Amino acid sequence: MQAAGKEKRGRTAEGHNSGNSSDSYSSSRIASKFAELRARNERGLVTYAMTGFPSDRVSVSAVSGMIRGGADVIELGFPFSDPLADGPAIQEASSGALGRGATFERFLRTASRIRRANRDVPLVLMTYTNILYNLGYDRAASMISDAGIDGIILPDMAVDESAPYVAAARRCGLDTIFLASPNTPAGRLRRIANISTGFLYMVAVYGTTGVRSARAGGRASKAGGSSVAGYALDAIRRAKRTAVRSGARLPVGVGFGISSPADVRQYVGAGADAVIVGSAYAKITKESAPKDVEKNVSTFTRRLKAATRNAS
Amino acid sequence: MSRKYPKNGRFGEFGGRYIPETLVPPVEELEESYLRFRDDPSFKAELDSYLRNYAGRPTPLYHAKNLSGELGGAQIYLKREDLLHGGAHKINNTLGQALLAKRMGKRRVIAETGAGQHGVATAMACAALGMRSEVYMGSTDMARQRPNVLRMGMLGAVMRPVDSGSRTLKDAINEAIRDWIANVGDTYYLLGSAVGPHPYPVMVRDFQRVIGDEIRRQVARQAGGGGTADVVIACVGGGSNAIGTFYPLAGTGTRLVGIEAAGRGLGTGMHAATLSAGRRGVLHGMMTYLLQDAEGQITETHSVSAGLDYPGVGPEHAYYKESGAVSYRSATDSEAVDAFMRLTRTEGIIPALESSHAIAEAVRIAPQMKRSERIVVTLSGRGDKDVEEVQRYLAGGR
Repeated sequence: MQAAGKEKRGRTAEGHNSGNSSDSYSSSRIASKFAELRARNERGLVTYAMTGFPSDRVSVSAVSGMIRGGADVIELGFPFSDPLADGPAIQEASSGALGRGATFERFLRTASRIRRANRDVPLVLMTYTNILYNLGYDRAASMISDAGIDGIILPDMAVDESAPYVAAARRCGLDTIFLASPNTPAGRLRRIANISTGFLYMVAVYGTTGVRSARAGGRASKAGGSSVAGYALDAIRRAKRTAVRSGARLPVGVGFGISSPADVRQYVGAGADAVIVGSAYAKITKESAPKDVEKNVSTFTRRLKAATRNAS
Repeated sequence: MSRKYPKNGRFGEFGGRYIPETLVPPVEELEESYLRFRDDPSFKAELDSYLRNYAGRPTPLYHAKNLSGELGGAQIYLKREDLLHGGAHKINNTLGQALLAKRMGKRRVIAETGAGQHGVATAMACAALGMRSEVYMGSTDMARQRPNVLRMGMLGAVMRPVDSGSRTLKDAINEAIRDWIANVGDTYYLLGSAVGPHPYPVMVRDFQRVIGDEIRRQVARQAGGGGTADVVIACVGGGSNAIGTFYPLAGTGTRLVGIEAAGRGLGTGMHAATLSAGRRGVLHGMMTYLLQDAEGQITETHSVSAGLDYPGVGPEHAYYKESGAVSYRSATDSEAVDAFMRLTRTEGIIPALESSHAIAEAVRIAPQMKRSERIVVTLSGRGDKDVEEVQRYLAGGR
């Protein structure tokens, strides 16, 4: 694998605890991006593309469309056979990619290509624990870092089990982005914030990706054609209060079930530093002719990005 | 073997809790409630009463004299879990967990099922306790286990067909977990095997250990002289009847043997023998042995018995394998069907295809043992559900 992103960083295993400056959370492209956004008084748009769906080439077109449309951070999905945190759209993208022979080697080649074409955009791998455990966390982390990727999200990795994974990621300077949920109690939220670097991923709904739960309770506020649960807004406020260390604040990104500019405005209004959109892109990619994917994705991204600008 | 509650839910390096963050609070609530109620005298008395008067415990230990005589070696005893209400050991666990769910104030119970036995046992326990149940089942399994699907419907369970992945047990678990994530407030996930995130493997084992506890007492009484069994055999899919059998017997000097489904043969790749042919990995909230490809993708399994058709295994079995406390072997579809027919013919007992894998091991080893030696086989369920499948198998040549 080419060392497309080799030049960037070099941090210690305790990097997330030792610093006290504003970049103590991360010295990666992700941190620089959030600093840049803050300076522009703008919020971030994080977009997700399942690599290899519907093909390697088209998924790269989708990423190009995201970048052209103004996405600030790109999540690159690598499929797992049993994506239990994902709803139907990403399940379908996962099985589609696996059906076309997705392998981790191919994923790394795709990521390297994207990195070579885009020096500065932060790239984050999203997959499931078994994929990295199977490679060995240390070997996986160095391969991921060599491909020019900046951070990792594993939706089934609980902080309680994360020590060997986090140590491996730190050794390679990769950010570890953990998820928190509206029902995460205060003490645990602090632990999650302390071990997360890059940003904290707050799940907006009780449910899987792309799905909004009607049953799980919580008041829904219907303003602006969106339906954001009251508990989600509370969760963002709580996360923002918690994710503060030594005067520096870890950015809080909000994801799951966000699919429209109206949703984006709601979460941005509630104080989210970034919004994360995934399943909506899987749908656009699936429903567009391959030649239109880049254009359609970029148009959609531009609309979402605009909603992150005229915030508070 | 230690009676301790495993620290951090770990059996050696296996087990743990690899779950989406939304499930952490409900899983912690479950653990807390379980630890509170398992030693609560009124909970124990209520469960004991249901096990006795509703499920039919204790189950007999039957000396299979005809089978033993035909094989000409060790004496074979059958632990008759097939005689329980519902026709399988599953009711031991569903009564325990449904009572727990009720005490926790949960109004909605969800479950996954493979062969349908756990789904039926869940529907029965919920009907008896006046609770609502919804059962996730792969559409492939629904087609091959039609009578159980009908039974669940009549018992009042809402069926939730699963069309994702291989449309079998593994996918039914994925879908049940997704449901739980979306409904953490009022929903209790009643897992059917000794798998999943901590505390499920421990809790299911504790509800199933009644099998091994009874075997110990019954062998001592029936065999006379405070005797013990020389070999105890159980089949292993997720491994709930096996862990319930082995846990109280581990360290007593009895040789313990778990039998996995070798399907069409370990060499063919068409099997479900996780411990025999798998590698460590993380699935369904636990670290354990898994059938997976070089990339860490979970592979599809095959077994003539839907109840053993699972690419993972309970983490305590993974630990027993590595510590050597239990030996794990396997039996093919054809050996299981032979054992099914042999027990049916010699003893007039129709065993579940799952349990037939354990019988197959007894058939294999009994002739090499002395007539004074004793084998106990946990007959985890009855085979009425399997008669069509067996006919199809025999008609197809294999």
